[in-house]
Parts: sequence; C-alpha cells; structure tokens
Amino acid sequence: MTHLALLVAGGAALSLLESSLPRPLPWTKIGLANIATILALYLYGARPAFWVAVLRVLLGGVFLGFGPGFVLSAGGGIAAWGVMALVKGTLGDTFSVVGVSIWGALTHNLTQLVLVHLLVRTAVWSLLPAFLWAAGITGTITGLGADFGLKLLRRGGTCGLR
Amino acid sequence: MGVGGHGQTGSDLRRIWNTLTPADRVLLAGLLCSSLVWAFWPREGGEVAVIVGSEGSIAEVNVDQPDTLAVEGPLGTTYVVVGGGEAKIISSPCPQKLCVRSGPVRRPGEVVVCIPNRVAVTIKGRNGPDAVLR
Repeated sequence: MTHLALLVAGGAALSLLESSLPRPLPWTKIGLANIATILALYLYGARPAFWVAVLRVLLGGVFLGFGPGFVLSAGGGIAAWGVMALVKGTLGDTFSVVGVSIWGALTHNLTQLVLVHLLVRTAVWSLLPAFLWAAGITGTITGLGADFGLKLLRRGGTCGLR
Repeated sequence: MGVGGHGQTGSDLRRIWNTLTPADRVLLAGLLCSSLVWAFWPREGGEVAVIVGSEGSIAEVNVDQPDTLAVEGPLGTTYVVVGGGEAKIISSPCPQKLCVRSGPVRRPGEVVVCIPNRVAVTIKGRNGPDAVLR
C-alpha cells in the first residue's frame, strides 16, 4: 500500500516535471510519468497498476489543473496502461521492461495526438514522426529507469534508497 | 555486479544494450528509422494556410499575402497573422499562451494549435494534404 502510494506520488511529480519540458505540441507530455505505471505493473500486477495510473493522473490534475492537459494526460496514461498490461501479459517473455515501456510510450503519444485531433479538429498527423521518435527515446529512458528501479527493489525489498 | 557504473561509459552502454531483448531492439530501431524517414521525406513549400476554429475549417489563405484573421472560440478571439510565407497566432485568450509562444508555421503539415480556444493553423502544400500524408 505504501509502495503504491509512493508510486502515485512519484508519477505525479514526474508529470509536473514533464509539463515544463519542451514538446512538439502544447499540452502534450512526453510520457516519463509512465514509469510509475510500469513499476506497479511489474511489482504488483495489472490491476494495481491501473489504479496507480488513474491516481497519478488525478494527482497531477490537482497540481496542474483539470484543463486540456489533464484530458491528454488521462487519455494517454490510461491507454498506455492498457497496452502495456496487454503486451506484458501476452508477450512478456519476448519484450523486456524496456520493450513494454516503448509500447507504452507509443500508445501514450498516439492517444494524445488523437485527442488533440478531436479537440481542435485539424490534421495534426504531420507531427506523427516527431511523436514516434519521442516515443522511442522516452520509452527507452523510462524503461531503463524502471528496469533499474525493479532491480533495486527486488534486491533490497525496500526502496533501495540509502 | 554494481548498478551504478563509475565512468566506464562503454561497459555501461553494453549493459544497457544487453538489457534489451531482440524484440526490444527491433521495436526501437523500427520506430526511430520510420520516423526519421518520414520526417525527412522531401516536401514542397507551403502555399496555403488553413485556419481551423471550433466549427471546423474556416479559412484558407495564401501564405504570401499579409492578412490578419480573427477566430472566435469558446474563450474569445484568437488572432492569426499570415504573410511572408508563414502563419502564426499572435494573441489568444487562453491562460498559458503556449500557442503564441509556439511561433510561426511554414512547411506543409506544420501546425500550431490553441487547444483551450479550439483554434489551429496549419500549412497546406500545392496538392493539398495528400502531399504530406502520402
């Protein structure tokens, strides 16, 4: 329970950090906060990971407001959870944490692009290459972070912080 | 096997590489290569700026003819300036002004949006959007 709460708080903190980073479209995020969902997915399973995803999005909304950014964050975060849970469940031996994370980042970014399209009703698909590229990079970074975190947590049984 | 390496960048990179399964590597490489090819695919210069409001496309104007357009959205009026081969949002009633800070769009397919006020400005090539999305 405590660990899940920490993951929610950590994910929300990453949302705050992300909202200050540059990105190809206003209000979108690059998906680093998915690390909380991934850790919960690997440590506790799909269902707790869902709640971590939902709660960190809500907590992020409390700090950043419930505007368009919240809609994009919620859509991207929850869609990413769905695909990551699916990929881990079916192809968990084929893809490592990093692969699952890349799938999550890909879903996160594509969902945001679709939501922006629905919000402003215009062809934003030309930004797809930038979003795919960003998904590859952030998915890998997030996945390596999650891999590092998992190794620490599994070895120590605590948060690994000394 | 320590987790935090000290300076040995080569072996750190190898450890990272070894963390990836073959499927991970294919996924990552495919993603990066396809997006690069797509991003650098030759495109012709933009001809027309398309301005989209909450009710859909409202104007298509030549990017070389100076013009200022007022677009009504749920929050108020967003002003779009066109001319000199580019288009940009110069003012908008949204709280964060991300659209104004995004700067101008020039190449076909480039887009600047004001999500809170539901306004978008994109550039279209001579052959329409298909020239970008082929």
